[in-house]
Amino acid sequence: MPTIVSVDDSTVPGEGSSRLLLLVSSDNKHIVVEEDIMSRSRFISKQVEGFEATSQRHAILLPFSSFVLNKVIEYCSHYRGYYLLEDDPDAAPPGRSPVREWDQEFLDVDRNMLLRIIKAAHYLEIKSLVGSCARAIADMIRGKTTEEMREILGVENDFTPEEEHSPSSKCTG
Amino acid sequence: MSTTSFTPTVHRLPPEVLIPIFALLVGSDVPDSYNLIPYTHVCRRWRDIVTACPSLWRHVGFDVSTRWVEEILLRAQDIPVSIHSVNMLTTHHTGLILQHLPHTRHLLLVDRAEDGAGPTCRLHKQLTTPAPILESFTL
Repeated sequence: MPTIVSVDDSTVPGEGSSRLLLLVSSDNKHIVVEEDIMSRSRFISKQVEGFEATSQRHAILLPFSSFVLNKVIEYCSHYRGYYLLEDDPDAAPPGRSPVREWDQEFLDVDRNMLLRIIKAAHYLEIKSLVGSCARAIADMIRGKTTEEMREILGVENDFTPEEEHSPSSKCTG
Repeated sequence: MSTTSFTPTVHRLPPEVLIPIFALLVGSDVPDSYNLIPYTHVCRRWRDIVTACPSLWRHVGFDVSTRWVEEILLRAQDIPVSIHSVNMLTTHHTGLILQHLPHTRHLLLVDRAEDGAGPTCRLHKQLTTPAPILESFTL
């Protein structure tokens, strides 16, 4: 569950057509962003609905760093005002839509960053970004050997020798 | 909080994030759940998540060993499946198809027997099992 703290009016400026939100990252960076930009996030939208119910302004504390949060904000800013089918609550599971060229460049990052982004996107309930990250991860491991997959994604082999050599666990085709 | 907890690993991704990744690895042109087998050999968690998710096993190709066809059908449980085969079916295979016809959504069979008397064509004549959700049947 997110932690929500009350903030002064001066902390969150503006009462314009697109209100401003205060997002606080795990490294305690305060990032002010327009509500419109973050409306792609179901999590943020639900938080905002909660604010409206109480007529109070809050900062939203998020469990990931400002570096990752800024990356997510960059994604949301790029698609501001765009309808993306995957973000529809009734859409199919993420990852089924055609690859968007911009997303490919946006996610041309190292493994750790990619994993941080998909975790943040999942937390923020941004299905389109989860889907794009899923495609990028799938592309990294498709057709690789078991050892290569472990190395690429930093996965430890936790099977016992017996399990590894068990006929029932082997792909005997 | 320890430094380790900030280290991102695939292990910490929840199943609902990992499953869409595996769903993409089933294949796109001719999806076949058999393609997932190598991913179940990477680590225990992957195996547990993949084998426990019936929707990942809904693309059943009959062009692998009978043991794996049966295993994939078992993992799919009762969810709607798509069955395809481009090789000659055995009598055992045709029995499996008839058994699972009630939860088959798509059925694609290719019979290379030139006289049209192979098991696949004979299956056509045995299709008396109810197929309430069948949307397409290609022979």
